Amino acid sequence: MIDVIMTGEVLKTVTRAVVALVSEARMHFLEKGLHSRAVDPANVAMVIVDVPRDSFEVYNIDEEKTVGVDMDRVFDISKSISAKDLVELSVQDESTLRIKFGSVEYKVALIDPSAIRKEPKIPELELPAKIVIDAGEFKKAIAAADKISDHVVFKSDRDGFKIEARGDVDSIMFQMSETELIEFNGGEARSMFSVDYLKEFCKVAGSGDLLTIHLGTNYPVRLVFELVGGKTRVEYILAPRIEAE
Amino acid sequence: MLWVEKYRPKKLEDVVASKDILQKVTLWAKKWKPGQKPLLLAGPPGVGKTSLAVALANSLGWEVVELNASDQRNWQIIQRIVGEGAFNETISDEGEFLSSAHGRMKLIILDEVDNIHKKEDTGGEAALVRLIKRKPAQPVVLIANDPYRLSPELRRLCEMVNFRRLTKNQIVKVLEKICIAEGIKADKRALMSIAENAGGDLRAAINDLQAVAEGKDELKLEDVVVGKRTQEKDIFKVLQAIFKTKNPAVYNDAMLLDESPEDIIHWVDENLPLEYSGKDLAVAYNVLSKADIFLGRVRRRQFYRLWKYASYLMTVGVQQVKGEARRGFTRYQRPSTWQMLFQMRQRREMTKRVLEKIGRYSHMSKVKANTEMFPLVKLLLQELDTDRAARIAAFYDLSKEELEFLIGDRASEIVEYIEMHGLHRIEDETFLAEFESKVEPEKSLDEEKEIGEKSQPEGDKEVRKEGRKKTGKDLTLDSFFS
Repeated sequence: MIDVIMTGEVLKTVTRAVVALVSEARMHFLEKGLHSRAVDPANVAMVIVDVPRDSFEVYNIDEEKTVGVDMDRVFDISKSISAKDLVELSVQDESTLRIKFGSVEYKVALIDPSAIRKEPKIPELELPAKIVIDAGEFKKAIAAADKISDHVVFKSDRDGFKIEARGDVDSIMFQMSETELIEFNGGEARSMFSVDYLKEFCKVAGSGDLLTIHLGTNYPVRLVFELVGGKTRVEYILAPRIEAE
Repeated sequence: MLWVEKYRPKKLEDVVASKDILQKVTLWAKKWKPGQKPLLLAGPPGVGKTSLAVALANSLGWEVVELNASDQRNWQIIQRIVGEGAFNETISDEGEFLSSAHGRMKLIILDEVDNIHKKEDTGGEAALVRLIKRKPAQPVVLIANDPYRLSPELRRLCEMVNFRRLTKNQIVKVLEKICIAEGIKADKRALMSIAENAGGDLRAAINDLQAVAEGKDELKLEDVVVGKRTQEKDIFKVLQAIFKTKNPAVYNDAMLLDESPEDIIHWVDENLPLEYSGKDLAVAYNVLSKADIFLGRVRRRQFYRLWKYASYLMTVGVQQVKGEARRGFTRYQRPSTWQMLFQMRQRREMTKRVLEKIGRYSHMSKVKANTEMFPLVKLLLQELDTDRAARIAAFYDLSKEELEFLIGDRASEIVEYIEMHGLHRIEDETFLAEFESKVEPEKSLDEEKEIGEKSQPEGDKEVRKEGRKKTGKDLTLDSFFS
């Protein structure tokens, strides 16, 4: 039996983070908290969501349990919950998830976890550059890049962190030096990524949220968002674009 | 678990297919590099097209991204997945990063491309074509039962591999293997009978085998009481039955086809003279004309029961009038009527576009442009020397396709000349603006580019670029607004 209570904001963030990539996912209710991860159907990106136990108002589970959830539906419902409201999630029997908020009780059928795509292991990546930045700034940079091109270059060297997009006739450059960044290790790296994915990722975050970027050269990037005042951790891993010679 | 899944070949060697198919596919994969044509596997259901693609990926250690019919899908989803998947590196299902630089590719399999609902989004196939033209950086395999339902352009962009129905012996061999693996002692005649019934469809045969043999130790001939499978017929089979045999059962086969009598009659009409001659031909056409009369009545009165008579006449009717069937193989043609209709429509649209331009720049209505200017412009473009013809073409802002449509081969010469000399249309506003200030050279440069680019609107990028310019302030390409 699972019975947990959280704020609407947490549920919104978790579901939004997952639906950016997949429509169905496994949710693990573990001793240490809620965990979910998935690879998108095009095998380009991965999402890892963690909500530690302390971030819940109430967290009651008999045993560690995994359920398959239709995230699209839950996300849709969660849109109508306001951020500060409390939401109760409970699984009594094996087949339904009950979501209660205010005077509304929403029930949705669970999906057999074995019917959902295999779950990935979390890869170990050696990424030289580490950049900590305000997620709002990053979001702005991606939104601007989106107007120009469908791919962007992330670049990190001693001078700072750059996001570059090149259109056919125009280009845009977002640059932050070490002093402007919250944290920066000056590692050298450069990779190209697809804007469509980054745009989806950014949707979970707003200004004030912390974003840690781990960057390598022609290697996947790790984007770690700390959301809802640090209550939720959402990590995306995105494979780089193949650059045409 | 379904045996079809359980015994799906893991390695390329296990796939049942003819040598030349295997060779072709292996070669394609071995020499694969970005920009190479995607593979199009075409053939009837159940002959191992998907299995081959998956096994190929397994053998080479490639990751597989498969979009199959069971997925809820439309062109938009496909475009997203293929569009992103094909141009990015891979994170495998296991969560491992696969770098294409190390040969760890991702094989994108688009199953049943001919079966995606076209009605919802007619531009979908065009989007796929654009995608392929952008030269995917990851290998792509398209799979279709009937490749002729795809546009010719899409087919041209792919390397097509045709699968044939499997022979009875090939199927029996696979069934035997499965029986051994399952520990079933099987009578060979029983397997033969299953294979025969499957009509070259291995998947059907395995399913039938599972139905009768699962859980048994022994399979005897008496156990095999599978109902006759309605084998999928294609139009070519039906045509063959009409023209080569005298068996009236062809009517039922024709009804099983996924084609309306209005389409079938075109097929029969097109191929009739290839098979019949002399008096037979005349009589057959007479019968066919009667069928057409019925079709006409259905149209007019919306009384679809009459379709039955039309269908009978065009199949059995045509079939029965022949004396002796023509011997040998006949290659049946697609109805040329459809092709003609398509071309006519295209020509009409092209004319309309040209007329719009003439009308706009010569200040007259399209109707007037058609009667007064069109023949003149066409003649001038044909007869004048390159310099003057090019100036006229630039004045009307005609694209390469439009020029080709007007004057045929000479178009490329003129387009080249336009590009070389940077001819372009000077818009009235631009023209006037020059009197006020002299800061315009940049703009005309831009325009030159525009003409150059417009003449080869190829690939997604260019299309998007134009789209963006539309919103820009200083553009003069009114033609895009229409």
